Amino acid sequence: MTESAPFSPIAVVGTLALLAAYLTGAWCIAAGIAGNARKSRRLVSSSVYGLYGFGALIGLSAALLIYGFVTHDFAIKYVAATSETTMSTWYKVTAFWGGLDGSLLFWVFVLALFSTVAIAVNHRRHKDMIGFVVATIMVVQVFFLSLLIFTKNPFTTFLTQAPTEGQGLNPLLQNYWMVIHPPSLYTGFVAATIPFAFGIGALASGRLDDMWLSSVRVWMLICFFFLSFGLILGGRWAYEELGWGGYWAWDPVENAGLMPWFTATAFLHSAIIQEQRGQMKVWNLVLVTLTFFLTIFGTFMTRSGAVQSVHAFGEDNILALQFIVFMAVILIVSIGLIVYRSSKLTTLGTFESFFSREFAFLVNNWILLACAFFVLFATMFPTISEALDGSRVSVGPEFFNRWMTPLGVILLFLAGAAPLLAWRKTTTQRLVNQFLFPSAGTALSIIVLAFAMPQTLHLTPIFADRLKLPVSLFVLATIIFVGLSIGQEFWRGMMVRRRQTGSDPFTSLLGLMLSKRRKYGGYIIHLGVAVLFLGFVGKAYEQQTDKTIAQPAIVRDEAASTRVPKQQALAQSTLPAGLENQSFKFGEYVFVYQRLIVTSDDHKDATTAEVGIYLDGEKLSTVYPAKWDYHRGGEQATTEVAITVRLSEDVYVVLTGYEQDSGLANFRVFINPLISWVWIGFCILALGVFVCLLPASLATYVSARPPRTRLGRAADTGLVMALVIGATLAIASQAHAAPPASAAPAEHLPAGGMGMGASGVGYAAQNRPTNGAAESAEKDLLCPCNCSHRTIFECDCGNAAELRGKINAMIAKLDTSTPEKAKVAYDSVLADFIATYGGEQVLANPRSSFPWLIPMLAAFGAAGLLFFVGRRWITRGRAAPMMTASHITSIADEDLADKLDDELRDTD
Amino acid sequence: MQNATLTKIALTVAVVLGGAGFLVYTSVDHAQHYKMVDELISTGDLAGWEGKELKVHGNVEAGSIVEKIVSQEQHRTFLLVKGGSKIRVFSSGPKPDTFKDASEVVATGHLIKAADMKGMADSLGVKLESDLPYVVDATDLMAKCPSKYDGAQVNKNINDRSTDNKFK
Repeated sequence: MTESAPFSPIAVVGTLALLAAYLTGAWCIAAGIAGNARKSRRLVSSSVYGLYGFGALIGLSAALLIYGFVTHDFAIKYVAATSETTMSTWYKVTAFWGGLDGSLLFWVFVLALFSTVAIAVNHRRHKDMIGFVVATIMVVQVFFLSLLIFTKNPFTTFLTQAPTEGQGLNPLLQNYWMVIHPPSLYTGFVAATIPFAFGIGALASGRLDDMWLSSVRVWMLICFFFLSFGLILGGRWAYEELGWGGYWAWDPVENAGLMPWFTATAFLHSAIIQEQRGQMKVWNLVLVTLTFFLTIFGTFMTRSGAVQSVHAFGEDNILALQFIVFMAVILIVSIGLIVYRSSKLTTLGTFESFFSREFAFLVNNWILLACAFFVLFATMFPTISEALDGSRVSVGPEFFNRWMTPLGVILLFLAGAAPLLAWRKTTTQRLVNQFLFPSAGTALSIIVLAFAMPQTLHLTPIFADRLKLPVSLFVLATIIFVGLSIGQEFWRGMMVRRRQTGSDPFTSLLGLMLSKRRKYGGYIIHLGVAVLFLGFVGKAYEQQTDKTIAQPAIVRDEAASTRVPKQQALAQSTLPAGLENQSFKFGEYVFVYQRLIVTSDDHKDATTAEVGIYLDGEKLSTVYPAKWDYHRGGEQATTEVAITVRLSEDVYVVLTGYEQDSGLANFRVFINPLISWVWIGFCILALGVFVCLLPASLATYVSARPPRTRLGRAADTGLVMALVIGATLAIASQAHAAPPASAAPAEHLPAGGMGMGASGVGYAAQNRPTNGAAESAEKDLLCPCNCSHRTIFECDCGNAAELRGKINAMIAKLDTSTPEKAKVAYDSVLADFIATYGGEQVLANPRSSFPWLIPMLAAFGAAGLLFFVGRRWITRGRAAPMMTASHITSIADEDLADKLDDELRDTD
Repeated sequence: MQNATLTKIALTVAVVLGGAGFLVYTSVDHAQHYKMVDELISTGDLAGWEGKELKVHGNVEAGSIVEKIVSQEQHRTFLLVKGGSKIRVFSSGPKPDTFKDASEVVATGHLIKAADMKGMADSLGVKLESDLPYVVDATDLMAKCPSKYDGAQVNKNINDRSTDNKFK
């Protein structure tokens, strides 16, 4: 039972945990710096353990806030502002990051989690600098925690009477993409802190060899992955939910996530140069600082209201000032330390040739930096112009596209070319050997494309209006070049490995990828980026139209004698004749406006158009674009788009307006060529990241066991790859899966006997609670229909309606005139249900903790089992190589393996 | 400092400055100016804005909306007013759900001579105002709704549920 008084034990304990964490954080900063500066192991250990304690306290706060959401503790303002009782538990949990206060706590929580892992893994390796690393992380934590405690405490309670019901989450945000998109972006942002902390630790301690780089590479890759994932999920959300037909609009919030993505990508490449050639030490430090700075700047830009955005989080001058001070501190400390240590940052040697891999990486870095600064400039354009001459001037998406397209094509070309170049210098002979096949293939494909698809010759302006080039053709040719060059790398690598091991091509290929995960995982990422570009090319051929149709084919209240034959005709798989006024042709498709359906349920009124899409006279799909007007969603209806997904193009139908009485409907239709390849490209990119992140022990286990039989070996490697692909798809399938509109019509159709008709006589509307006691009982009893663990109060099935009637009848017989008597009545209803249905499983929140323990124990048991099985597997994997030491020398040192590969190729 | 190093620095500075200059130069072509109706009219030099992409912000004058479906496309015209100034806007296609009399609207489009839209005005049965020589040919209408993405803001005025009054 939830107390409605403004006192909340959850809020008290939560705030105390935050305060304790704040003090712990402050101690960690002092102990970490003093420990490393005075070489005191005890102080350094103290800061490390302080960081673990900090993580535990923040974990407790996060758990308490989630508990507050689940138990409807509306005494807490944040809970009341972003949730309501009828929301599903899933949305209640995710409402944690639905507003600014909670998202700040989420930020601190994720950073606490990451830093605990990063420090636990590295603290023995980096004794000389780990105190500084902990102190840097804790400065960031204390900054966010101070925002939380002093201005945005998510545990703030109402001073006077607390509301008995929350305000709920914006309907636009009650969407599965939105559930995972913000935490994914935050996770990417937060992961950038770890490399920054190690960079500062290295600078402060003066340990500027490559040790710190090896510790942060993984974290930057995690940062890169989550930023990519967050950006693509945001795009998918916009595509499905906002109804403007696209997935990217160069909005400041999108750009805020993209800028650190560019610098993180640049670092992932330049770090390899430092490892291989000992160069670009300052540059790498600048990049980790810049990536971290841009994550903070992006947060500042969008949260402070400094830049206008559709996301419109609102202006907050105090928050803006706090961020400005923090950003200034970051820059002053970082630049100051780099200058202070400049003598230790001298680079060994210079670039020997333009035709070297390091030079290609350098150009890649310049372009990525140029991209980041261009996006920054264009995003800040309104702010800059307003500061200069007082007028509000913005630049549209067209300006971004004109600059980013050519820069993107250069990057894409480098993604194909750099893997073909050797370190230091590529000899002419090798240049020919490496580039001949991809270049010849690309040249041939340009000719074929120009003749077979003349639309690719369409001239598009880049940079300025006067400079026009067949950009689509260039991009397609570059995609083919990347595909061929990466394909060639895999092929040659596989052939070398086949000669080394004598195994079959499939096993050789998998063994190659597992033994040199970073290299080949990186190539898979390049391939994913190329496929993403294929999706981007489609944008140039996007078509859009607006149509208004005065009346649908089936008119409301039409006599059955005319309606039934029409329904039968429309149900056929071929286009019926005589519907010229109810249909329109666009692209290759004919769209028939079949009928307008008006429905409503407890949450919303929905107006849905039923549209048949025909291709070559055959029915392709029936789609249901709609507008939903939430009862509690304010004045704005949400647009529910209908997308028919095809590999070649999406047909995207939006109901942009309607008149219920006449049946008139406005449609906006987009034909989006190749858009599915954006999601597919991301899946390939995610696979590449997983290959890069595969633990060495797992790869060694598979690679090092002596082959029993070829088939057995192939099965082993196949199993590992299946696991990798499975894990990738499990995460990325969300991005790939575009639910065909035809699969979701049930939501839009009149719901027959079960549903709630326009007149509001459906089951959900029946037997509503007659007083507070009845409502409380209904909210605390689960519906026996097993429909998603909903309560009798929420559920819209017939059983729930019947049980509500039963409760109303029971309560009516009891005295509820005072709160005490009402409580007695409530208890007696619950006792009756428990007795009738044989146990406390009927309760939404069981009183006994036992039922809760079972899934918890099962989860812990499963985790324990996994740990022991995994550990045993890894131990066996480690033991195996000892028997075959000569075999694994080729894979133990990846750098050596790379060089060996290069040499082997040269001898081919 | 060695000559080679100086050359490198000079080259880098030249590339950066050249790139930045070109960036600013190209941005001018793409600038979308944001003007309130009275701000735009009071510049006096409407011809100077002709052909440029503008975002014009004002309120729809009550009773001025005229809509008609022409070959499956909805055309409309209305007057946008602010601070005593007004300008006529033409647009086609969808409109925001909250577009109605007196609603606050930002019309994105180009400023063109009123005479160029005479055909559309005639088809809609609207007489062009003689004192408004320029009209906005809008490609997009956006209803101002600053709180669209903020759940708490959107719902701030909807705390009207009366059912949850436990035991009272």
